[in-house]
Amino acid sequence: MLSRVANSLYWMSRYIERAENIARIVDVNLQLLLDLRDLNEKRLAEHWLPIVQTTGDEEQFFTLHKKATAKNVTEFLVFQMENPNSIVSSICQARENARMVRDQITVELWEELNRIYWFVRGTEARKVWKESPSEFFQQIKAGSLHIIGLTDATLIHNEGWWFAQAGKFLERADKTSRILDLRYQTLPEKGAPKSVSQEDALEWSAILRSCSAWDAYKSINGAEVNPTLVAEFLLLNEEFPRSVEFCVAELNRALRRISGVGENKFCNAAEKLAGRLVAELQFTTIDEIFDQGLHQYLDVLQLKLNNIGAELFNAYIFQQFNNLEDEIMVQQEEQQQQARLI
Amino acid sequence: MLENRETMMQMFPELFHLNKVRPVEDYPKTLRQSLASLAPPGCSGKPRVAVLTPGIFNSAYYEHSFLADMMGVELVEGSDLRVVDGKVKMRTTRGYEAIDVLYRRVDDDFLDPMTFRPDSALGIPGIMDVYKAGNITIANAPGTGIADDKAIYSYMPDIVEFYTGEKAILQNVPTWRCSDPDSLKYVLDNLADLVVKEVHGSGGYGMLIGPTSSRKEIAAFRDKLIARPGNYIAQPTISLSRHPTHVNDGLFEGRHIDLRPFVLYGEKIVTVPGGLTRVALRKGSLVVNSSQGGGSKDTWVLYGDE
Repeated sequence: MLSRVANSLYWMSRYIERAENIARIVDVNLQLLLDLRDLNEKRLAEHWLPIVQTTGDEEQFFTLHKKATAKNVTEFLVFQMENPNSIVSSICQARENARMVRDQITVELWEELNRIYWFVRGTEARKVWKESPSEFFQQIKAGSLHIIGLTDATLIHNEGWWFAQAGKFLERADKTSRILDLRYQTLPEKGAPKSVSQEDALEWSAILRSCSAWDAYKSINGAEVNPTLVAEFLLLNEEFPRSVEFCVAELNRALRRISGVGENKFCNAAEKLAGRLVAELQFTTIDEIFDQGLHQYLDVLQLKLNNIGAELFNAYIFQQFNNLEDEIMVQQEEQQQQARLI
Repeated sequence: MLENRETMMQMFPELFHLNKVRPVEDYPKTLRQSLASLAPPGCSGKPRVAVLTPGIFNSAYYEHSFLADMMGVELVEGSDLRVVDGKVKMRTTRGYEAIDVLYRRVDDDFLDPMTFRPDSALGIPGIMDVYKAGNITIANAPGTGIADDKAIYSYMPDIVEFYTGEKAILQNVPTWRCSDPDSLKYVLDNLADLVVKEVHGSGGYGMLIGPTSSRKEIAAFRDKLIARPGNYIAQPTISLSRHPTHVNDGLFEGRHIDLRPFVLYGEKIVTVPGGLTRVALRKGSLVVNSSQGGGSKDTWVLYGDE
């Protein structure tokens, strides 16, 4: 399979997963505000700034906005095209990647991607957003889940499909870890918190709901919500499909299906790192994680995930790609070429 | 051609039973065989064929992708390819794989930034060296674009006679090369009755259709012609055939058409029993080019009574 094609399939599904997760994060935080009392400006900034930090785009945010207000943050994360990771940007990039491999995906998948693309690009999205943000996020999540379902049920599960899987699970593992990191400032630097206020508990259950994890969590831990149990569930549960351990295990499986190499061996650095991370997650306890500090642990975890992505790129895709200026020129030249019909 | 046929077969299947229409669906297979037969002599095993497209921003990208799909070969862009060990190779998830025959839909100028336009980002640096060393076949070969030059057309009867020793069966449209002073004088004297085209023009642009142009337009074109006569050829206005064409509200009217046949030259020459009939959708217009609102029609060759 052409590397460019594998790369496009990988990013198509990664960007869709990204759009969905951003929708989850913003949705739950908007709802959470309804539960919080005492909303002075300082308190609000404390609420919204970590959400920008979660996405790793703080620098970009402050080049566009002065203050982390609800309006600025949601605009930045949802609509702003200047933010390459906003929901709308992500959907555009997912579609762009799909367009490049139009012959590798199914009509059903293409049409659904197109539908959601035209929804966010048209006037309809703003209208829905204005009337009910949660309805808007519902549509984004439903669109993404529909696309994931179509990818699963209509695409042939060949090499390219496994690249799409790898992209999806890598993105999901990363986003779950970032969502979990949302309230790190309320935690002690090292060790688990001694007591949990009612407000804290609300915020930690918001984190669970961001990951659609509320029901699954309750079935295991009952109604008690505290940072240790939430972190354990979202990091180390091996059956919940959005937990980091589950996602990394699936990522590892996808990598091995691509190369055909067995679980206890590796043939490239991506497999080595993924295999190692799976083992690490399997043989770690939540107490050990809190001993070194949750935030610290998540930082390192995200770095490891990034490295797996980078090594996957090196192993399968790397080829000198054009920079942006060249890219613009390429597009102009493409258009200039004579069009002949067959 | 292929999509026109598919649409017609879906909408009017009974017509195809009644009329014994020869199929065109072999075209991708035949094209692939023709391409494979052109593989360089050093190629061992099954030749690897790929279609080179400028990319998704080209208006014909869909055609390229469709054709590659139908032929079952890779659709590649310049950025997928690089020269490795004297061969042109494509970057795959299993490493670099050599290509033997490249069916390119990228213009000559853009093929190799090291040989042609240095600023081209669509091409493959060094591909012309591989080509010259005989390690890849490029189809159509670089330079064949000269056949698109309209002045070449005026030599066709001579070319046919030179290569076959026989007179051409199909008549040429009389063509004046304006580079020739006598021809130029004739063309200037009869500008209002002639069609004048740029030799390297395409898509129906940069041309004058004398009979339908205003005096002002003709005068302006006359200046251009005098300034660069070698840049133009002239032909009498051909009355293209007309064909009943659905215009709107169930109404059919005559519209001008021309025919673009498909001829493949590999081991032998194969003429596809069909083609692309291009139609000028505007009333009275002689411009059939798709880039100027022309349409197309499915074209049938019948089995006859054999």
